[in-house]
Amino acid sequence: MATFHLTILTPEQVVFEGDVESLTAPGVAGCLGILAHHTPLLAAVRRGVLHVRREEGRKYFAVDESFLHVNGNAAVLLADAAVEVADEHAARQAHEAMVRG
Amino acid sequence: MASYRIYNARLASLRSMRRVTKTMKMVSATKLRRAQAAEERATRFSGRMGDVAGHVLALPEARAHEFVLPRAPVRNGLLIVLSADKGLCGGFNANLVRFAAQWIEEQRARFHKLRAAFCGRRALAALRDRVEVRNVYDGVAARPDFRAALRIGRDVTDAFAARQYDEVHLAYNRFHSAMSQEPVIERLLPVPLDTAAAPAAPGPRAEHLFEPEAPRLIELFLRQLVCLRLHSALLQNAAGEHGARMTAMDSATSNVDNLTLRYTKLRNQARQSSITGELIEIISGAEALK
Repeated sequence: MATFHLTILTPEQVVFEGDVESLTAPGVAGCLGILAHHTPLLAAVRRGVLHVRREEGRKYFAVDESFLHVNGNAAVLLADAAVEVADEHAARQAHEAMVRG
Repeated sequence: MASYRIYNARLASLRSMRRVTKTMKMVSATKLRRAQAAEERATRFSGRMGDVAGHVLALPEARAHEFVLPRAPVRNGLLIVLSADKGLCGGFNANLVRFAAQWIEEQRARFHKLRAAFCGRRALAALRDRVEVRNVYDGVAARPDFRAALRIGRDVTDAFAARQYDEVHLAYNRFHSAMSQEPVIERLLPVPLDTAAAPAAPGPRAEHLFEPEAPRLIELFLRQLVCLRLHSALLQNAAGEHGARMTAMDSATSNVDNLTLRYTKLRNQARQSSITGELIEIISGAEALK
Protein backbone atom coordinates (compact mmCIF):
# COMPACT_ATOMS: atom_id res chain seq x y z
CA MET A 1 0.00 0.00 0.00
CA ALA A 2 1.18 3.53 -0.81
CA THR A 3 2.74 5.37 2.09
CA PHE A 4 3.37 8.98 3.04
CA HIS A 5 5.74 10.66 5.45
CA LEU A 6 4.36 11.61 8.86
CA THR A 7 6.05 13.80 11.45
CA ILE A 8 4.56 14.43 14.87
CA LEU A 9 6.20 17.39 16.57
CA THR A 10 5.68 19.19 19.84
CA PRO A 11 7.64 22.31 20.85
CA GLU A 12 9.58 20.04 23.18
CA GLN A 13 10.35 16.96 21.11
CA VAL A 14 9.95 14.93 17.94
CA VAL A 15 7.39 12.32 18.90
CA PHE A 16 7.27 10.33 15.67
CA GLU A 17 8.83 10.43 12.26
CA GLY A 18 8.35 7.79 9.58
CA ASP A 19 6.39 6.44 6.63
CA VAL A 20 2.81 5.44 7.29
CA GLU A 21 -0.08 4.04 5.25
CA SER A 22 -2.90 5.93 6.89
CA LEU A 23 -3.65 8.40 9.61
CA THR A 24 -6.91 9.07 11.44
CA ALA A 25 -7.10 12.25 13.50
CA PRO A 26 -9.89 13.86 15.57
CA GLY A 27 -10.40 17.10 13.63
CA VAL A 28 -12.19 20.06 15.22
CA ALA A 29 -14.86 19.80 12.51
CA GLY A 30 -14.99 15.99 12.45
CA CYS A 31 -12.81 12.94 12.05
CA LEU A 32 -10.06 13.20 9.43
CA GLY A 33 -8.71 10.24 7.47
CA ILE A 34 -5.51 10.80 5.52
CA LEU A 35 -4.09 8.43 2.92
CA ALA A 36 -1.10 8.86 0.64
CA HIS A 37 -1.33 11.68 -1.94
CA HIS A 38 -4.01 13.53 -0.02
CA THR A 39 -4.89 16.97 -1.34
CA PRO A 40 -3.14 19.83 0.53
CA LEU A 41 -4.95 20.38 3.80
CA LEU A 42 -4.62 22.46 6.90
CA ALA A 43 -6.77 21.35 9.80
CA ALA A 44 -7.15 22.05 13.48
CA VAL A 45 -7.16 18.89 15.57
CA ARG A 46 -8.72 18.63 19.00
CA ARG A 47 -7.55 16.62 21.96
CA GLY A 48 -7.98 12.94 21.17
CA VAL A 49 -6.43 9.78 19.84
CA LEU A 50 -4.46 9.55 16.62
CA HIS A 51 -4.50 6.20 14.81
CA VAL A 52 -1.56 5.49 12.59
CA ARG A 53 -1.41 2.42 10.35
CA ARG A 54 1.97 1.25 9.16
CA GLU A 55 3.21 -1.88 7.45
CA GLU A 56 4.55 -3.08 10.79
CA GLY A 57 1.24 -2.57 12.56
CA ARG A 58 -0.83 0.09 14.27
CA LYS A 59 0.31 2.89 16.53
CA TYR A 60 -1.72 5.13 18.81
CA PHE A 61 -0.88 8.60 20.01
CA ALA A 62 -2.68 10.67 22.60
CA VAL A 63 -2.53 14.24 21.30
CA ASP A 64 -3.47 17.60 22.72
CA GLU A 65 -4.81 20.39 20.52
CA SER A 66 -2.79 20.56 17.32
CA PHE A 67 -2.61 21.56 13.68
CA LEU A 68 -2.31 19.05 10.88
CA HIS A 69 -0.66 20.18 7.67
CA VAL A 70 -0.72 17.89 4.65
CA ASN A 71 1.24 18.95 1.60
CA GLY A 72 3.00 17.01 -1.15
CA ASN A 73 2.64 13.50 0.29
CA ALA A 74 3.91 14.56 3.68
CA ALA A 75 1.94 15.27 6.82
CA VAL A 76 3.10 17.24 9.84
CA LEU A 77 1.19 17.27 13.08
CA LEU A 78 2.15 20.26 15.22
CA ALA A 79 0.83 19.37 18.65
CA ASP A 80 0.80 21.13 22.02
CA ALA A 81 1.60 17.74 23.52
CA ALA A 82 1.68 14.17 22.21
CA VAL A 83 2.60 10.78 23.64
CA GLU A 84 2.63 7.34 22.11
CA VAL A 85 0.28 4.96 23.91
CA ALA A 86 -0.27 1.21 23.74
CA ASP A 87 -4.03 1.24 23.09
CA GLU A 88 -7.18 3.34 23.34
CA HIS A 89 -7.58 2.70 27.05
CA ALA A 90 -4.08 4.04 27.74
CA ALA A 91 -4.91 7.02 25.53
CA ARG A 92 -7.88 7.88 27.71
CA GLN A 93 -5.63 7.88 30.74
CA ALA A 94 -3.09 10.06 28.96
CA HIS A 95 -5.89 12.51 28.19
CA GLU A 96 -6.98 12.74 31.74
CA ALA A 97 -3.39 13.60 32.61
CA MET A 98 -3.42 16.34 29.93
CA VAL A 99 -6.71 17.76 31.20
CA ARG A 100 -5.39 17.84 34.75
CA GLY A 101 -2.51 19.74 33.21
CA MET B 1 51.46 43.60 60.55
CA ALA B 2 48.64 41.14 61.07
CA SER B 3 49.56 37.70 62.21
CA TYR B 4 49.88 35.17 59.43
CA ARG B 5 47.20 33.09 61.15
CA ILE B 6 44.64 35.73 60.17
CA TYR B 7 45.70 35.34 56.56
CA ASN B 8 45.36 31.59 56.88
CA ALA B 9 41.78 31.96 58.06
CA ARG B 10 41.07 34.34 55.16
CA LEU B 11 42.61 31.93 52.66
CA ALA B 12 40.47 29.09 54.02
CA SER B 13 37.33 31.15 53.50
CA LEU B 14 38.48 32.05 49.98
CA ARG B 15 38.93 28.35 49.22
CA SER B 16 35.39 27.53 50.29
CA MET B 17 34.05 30.54 48.37
CA ARG B 18 35.82 29.30 45.27
CA ARG B 19 34.20 25.90 45.68
CA VAL B 20 30.80 27.59 45.73
CA THR B 21 31.34 29.85 42.72
CA LYS B 22 32.99 27.09 40.70
CA THR B 23 30.13 24.70 41.41
CA MET B 24 27.51 27.33 40.57
CA LYS B 25 29.30 27.97 37.30
CA MET B 26 29.26 24.30 36.38
CA VAL B 27 25.61 23.87 37.37
CA SER B 28 24.68 26.91 35.28
CA ALA B 29 26.64 25.55 32.33
CA THR B 30 24.62 22.34 32.45
CA LYS B 31 21.34 24.21 32.78
CA LEU B 32 22.35 26.51 29.93
CA ARG B 33 23.00 23.52 27.67
CA ARG B 34 19.62 22.06 28.59
CA ALA B 35 17.87 25.37 27.94
CA GLN B 36 19.62 25.81 24.60
CA ALA B 37 18.68 22.29 23.52
CA ALA B 38 15.05 23.03 24.42
CA GLU B 39 15.27 26.24 22.44
CA GLU B 40 16.58 24.41 19.38
CA ARG B 41 13.70 21.93 19.49
CA ALA B 42 11.24 24.80 19.90
CA THR B 43 12.82 26.61 16.95
CA ARG B 44 12.33 23.54 14.76
CA PHE B 45 8.68 23.46 15.76
CA SER B 46 8.22 27.20 15.16
CA GLY B 47 9.91 26.86 11.78
CA ARG B 48 7.32 24.28 10.70
CA MET B 49 4.60 26.42 12.20
CA GLY B 50 5.92 29.37 10.23
CA ASP B 51 5.59 27.42 6.96
CA VAL B 52 1.99 26.70 7.80
CA ALA B 53 1.38 30.24 9.03
CA GLY B 54 2.33 31.53 5.58
CA HIS B 55 -0.74 29.79 4.15
CA VAL B 56 -3.19 30.87 6.83
CA LEU B 57 -2.10 34.41 7.57
CA ALA B 58 -1.97 35.35 3.89
CA LEU B 59 -5.76 35.02 3.80
CA PRO B 60 -7.54 38.37 3.67
CA GLU B 61 -9.60 37.36 6.73
CA ALA B 62 -6.40 37.12 8.77
CA ARG B 63 -5.51 40.77 8.17
CA ALA B 64 -8.91 41.83 9.48
CA HIS B 65 -8.98 39.55 12.50
CA GLU B 66 -9.51 41.19 15.89
CA PHE B 67 -6.24 39.67 17.13
CA VAL B 68 -4.37 41.46 14.34
CA LEU B 69 -6.12 44.82 13.85
CA PRO B 70 -4.71 47.59 16.05
CA ARG B 71 -7.39 48.98 18.32
CA ALA B 72 -8.18 52.64 18.51
CA PRO B 73 -8.38 54.25 20.93
CA VAL B 74 -6.02 52.21 23.07
CA ARG B 75 -7.26 52.29 26.66
CA ASN B 76 -5.68 49.55 28.73
CA GLY B 77 -2.27 48.02 28.28
CA LEU B 78 -0.60 44.98 29.74
CA LEU B 79 3.14 44.43 30.01
CA ILE B 80 4.39 40.92 30.71
CA VAL B 81 7.84 41.02 32.27
CA LEU B 82 10.01 37.90 32.23
CA SER B 83 12.98 37.78 34.56
CA ALA B 84 14.83 35.31 36.76
CA ASP B 85 13.64 34.11 40.15
CA LYS B 86 17.13 34.33 41.59
CA GLY B 87 20.00 36.77 41.52
CA LEU B 88 23.74 36.15 41.27
CA CYS B 89 23.61 36.47 37.52
CA GLY B 90 25.35 39.77 36.86
CA GLY B 91 23.29 42.52 35.29
CA PHE B 92 20.75 40.11 33.79
CA ASN B 93 17.79 41.22 35.91
CA ALA B 94 18.94 44.79 36.54
CA ASN B 95 19.28 45.58 32.83
CA LEU B 96 15.82 44.30 32.07
CA VAL B 97 14.28 46.12 35.01
CA ARG B 98 15.91 49.39 33.95
CA PHE B 99 14.74 48.91 30.37
CA ALA B 100 11.19 48.02 31.41
CA ALA B 101 10.98 50.90 33.90
CA GLN B 102 12.02 53.34 31.19
CA TRP B 103 9.46 51.89 28.80
CA ILE B 104 6.76 52.18 31.45
CA GLU B 105 7.59 55.86 32.02
CA GLU B 106 7.60 56.61 28.29
CA GLN B 107 4.47 54.69 27.38
CA ARG B 108 2.31 55.31 30.42
CA ALA B 109 0.73 58.38 28.83
CA ARG B 110 -0.56 56.32 25.89
CA PHE B 111 -2.71 54.17 28.15
CA HIS B 112 -5.66 54.93 30.34
CA LYS B 113 -4.39 52.19 32.59
CA LEU B 114 -1.18 50.19 32.32
CA ARG B 115 -0.79 46.97 34.27
CA ALA B 116 1.99 44.42 34.42
CA ALA B 117 2.16 40.66 34.80
CA PHE B 118 5.32 39.06 36.09
CA CYS B 119 7.07 35.81 35.52
CA GLY B 120 10.16 35.72 37.69
CA ARG B 121 10.40 37.29 41.13
CA ARG B 122 13.32 39.64 40.51
CA ALA B 123 11.51 42.02 38.20
CA LEU B 124 8.40 41.81 40.37
CA ALA B 125 10.34 42.92 43.43
CA ALA B 126 11.94 45.79 41.51
CA LEU B 127 8.89 47.07 39.62
CA ARG B 128 5.91 46.43 41.89
CA ASP B 129 6.02 50.03 43.16
CA ARG B 130 6.12 51.57 39.70
CA VAL B 131 3.25 49.80 38.00
CA GLU B 132 0.00 48.11 39.00
CA VAL B 133 0.55 44.35 39.23
CA ARG B 134 -2.07 42.27 37.43
CA ASN B 135 -0.79 38.86 38.42
CA VAL B 136 2.31 36.73 38.91
CA TYR B 137 3.01 33.49 37.10
CA ASP B 138 5.08 31.68 39.66
CA GLY B 139 7.52 28.83 39.28
CA VAL B 140 8.07 28.91 35.51
CA ALA B 141 11.09 31.15 35.05
CA ALA B 142 13.97 28.77 35.72
CA ARG B 143 12.72 25.76 33.75
CA PRO B 144 9.86 26.68 31.47
CA ASP B 145 7.86 24.06 29.59
CA PHE B 146 5.34 24.55 26.83
CA ARG B 147 2.48 23.94 29.21
CA ALA B 148 3.48 27.04 31.15
CA ALA B 149 3.59 29.04 27.91
CA LEU B 150 0.11 27.76 27.04
CA ARG B 151 -1.22 28.74 30.45
CA ILE B 152 0.12 32.29 30.20
CA GLY B 153 -0.73 32.60 26.49
CA ARG B 154 -4.35 31.51 26.93
CA ASP B 155 -4.75 33.74 29.93
CA VAL B 156 -3.61 36.91 28.18
CA THR B 157 -5.31 36.08 24.87
CA ASP B 158 -8.62 35.56 26.68
CA ALA B 159 -8.15 38.85 28.52
CA PHE B 160 -7.38 40.56 25.20
CA ALA B 161 -10.39 38.98 23.49
CA ALA B 162 -12.60 40.10 26.40
CA ARG B 163 -11.29 43.64 25.78
CA GLN B 164 -9.77 43.94 29.23
CA TYR B 165 -6.63 45.00 27.40
CA ASP B 166 -6.13 46.64 24.03
CA GLU B 167 -2.41 45.95 23.77
CA VAL B 168 -0.20 43.30 25.32
CA HIS B 169 3.57 43.76 25.34
CA LEU B 170 6.28 41.36 26.38
CA ALA B 171 9.58 42.35 28.02
CA TYR B 172 12.37 39.79 28.15
CA ASN B 173 16.08 39.31 27.63
CA ARG B 174 16.83 38.16 24.10
CA PHE B 175 19.52 35.51 24.19
CA HIS B 176 22.56 36.09 21.97
CA SER B 177 25.17 34.07 23.84
CA ALA B 178 26.19 33.18 27.37
CA MET B 179 28.02 36.53 27.47
CA SER B 180 25.37 38.74 25.96
CA GLN B 181 21.65 39.17 26.48
CA GLU B 182 19.70 42.13 25.25
CA PRO B 183 16.55 43.43 26.93
CA VAL B 184 13.72 43.90 24.42
CA ILE B 185 10.03 44.77 24.52
CA GLU B 186 7.82 43.35 21.77
CA ARG B 187 4.15 43.67 21.05
CA LEU B 188 2.43 40.35 21.59
CA LEU B 189 -1.14 41.41 20.85
CA PRO B 190 -2.44 42.60 18.44
CA VAL B 191 -0.20 40.14 16.60
CA PRO B 192 2.28 41.99 14.36
CA LEU B 193 1.81 39.97 11.18
CA ASP B 194 5.13 40.83 9.54
CA THR B 195 7.03 39.06 12.31
CA ALA B 196 4.61 36.14 12.52
CA ALA B 197 5.11 34.76 9.04
CA ALA B 198 6.42 35.44 5.61
CA PRO B 199 3.48 35.79 3.26
CA ALA B 200 2.92 32.72 1.13
CA ALA B 201 2.40 32.66 -2.61
CA PRO B 202 -0.86 34.33 -3.67
CA GLY B 203 -4.07 32.36 -3.92
CA PRO B 204 -3.38 29.79 -1.22
CA ARG B 205 -7.07 29.09 -0.75
CA ALA B 206 -7.19 27.46 -4.14
CA GLU B 207 -4.48 25.02 -3.15
CA HIS B 208 -5.36 24.25 0.43
CA LEU B 209 -8.39 22.80 2.11
CA PHE B 210 -9.05 24.43 5.46
CA GLU B 211 -10.81 22.68 8.25
CA PRO B 212 -12.59 24.24 10.06
CA GLU B 213 -13.42 27.19 7.79
CA ALA B 214 -10.89 30.01 7.58
CA PRO B 215 -12.14 32.48 10.25
CA ARG B 216 -12.22 29.89 13.03
CA LEU B 217 -8.93 28.35 11.92
CA ILE B 218 -7.26 31.77 11.85
CA GLU B 219 -8.31 32.45 15.40
CA LEU B 220 -6.98 29.10 16.64
CA PHE B 221 -3.81 29.78 14.74
CA LEU B 222 -3.21 33.25 16.10
CA ARG B 223 -3.78 31.97 19.64
CA GLN B 224 -1.19 29.30 19.01
CA LEU B 225 1.28 31.86 17.66
CA VAL B 226 0.98 33.94 20.83
CA CYS B 227 1.75 30.86 22.94
CA LEU B 228 4.72 29.96 20.74
CA ARG B 229 6.20 33.44 20.99
CA LEU B 230 5.80 33.32 24.75
CA HIS B 231 7.42 29.90 24.84
CA SER B 232 10.37 31.14 22.83
CA ALA B 233 10.73 34.20 25.09
CA LEU B 234 10.53 32.04 28.22
CA LEU B 235 13.23 29.74 26.87
CA GLN B 236 15.48 32.66 25.94
CA ASN B 237 14.89 34.14 29.37
CA ALA B 238 15.91 30.86 31.03
CA ALA B 239 18.93 30.37 28.75
CA GLY B 240 19.97 33.99 29.36
CA GLU B 241 19.66 33.61 33.11
CA HIS B 242 21.84 30.52 33.18
CA GLY B 243 24.31 32.02 30.71
CA ALA B 244 24.56 35.24 32.71
CA ARG B 245 25.02 33.31 35.93
CA MET B 246 27.68 31.16 34.33
CA THR B 247 29.59 34.24 33.18
CA ALA B 248 29.15 35.98 36.54
CA MET B 249 30.35 32.94 38.46
CA ASP B 250 33.26 32.49 36.09
CA SER B 251 34.50 36.01 36.79
CA ALA B 252 33.77 35.54 40.51
CA THR B 253 35.96 32.43 40.46
CA SER B 254 38.82 34.27 38.78
CA ASN B 255 38.43 37.13 41.27
CA VAL B 256 38.76 34.62 44.09
CA ASP B 257 41.87 33.24 42.40
CA ASN B 258 43.42 36.71 42.26
CA LEU B 259 42.62 37.32 45.92
CA THR B 260 44.06 33.95 46.86
CA LEU B 261 47.32 34.85 45.13
CA ARG B 262 47.46 38.20 46.89
CA TYR B 263 46.67 36.80 50.32
CA THR B 264 49.12 33.92 49.90
CA LYS B 265 51.84 36.46 49.20
CA LEU B 266 50.80 38.59 52.20
CA ARG B 267 50.64 35.53 54.42
CA ASN B 268 54.14 34.43 53.40
CA GLN B 269 55.46 37.93 54.03
CA ALA B 270 53.82 37.99 57.47
CA ARG B 271 55.18 34.58 58.33
CA GLN B 272 58.64 35.55 57.18
CA SER B 273 58.63 38.78 59.16
CA SER B 274 57.48 36.98 62.30
CA ILE B 275 60.29 34.44 61.84
CA THR B 276 62.75 37.27 61.31
CA GLY B 277 61.44 39.02 64.42
CA GLU B 278 61.87 35.88 66.51
CA LEU B 279 65.38 35.34 65.19
CA ILE B 280 66.37 38.89 66.05
CA GLU B 281 65.05 38.41 69.56
CA ILE B 282 66.97 35.13 70.00
CA ILE B 283 70.21 36.54 68.59
CA SER B 284 70.02 39.76 70.56
CA GLY B 285 69.21 37.71 73.67
CA ALA B 286 72.30 35.56 73.03
CA GLU B 287 74.44 38.65 72.41
CA ALA B 288 73.28 40.12 75.74
CA LEU B 289 74.38 36.97 77.59
CA LYS B 290 77.97 37.20 76.27
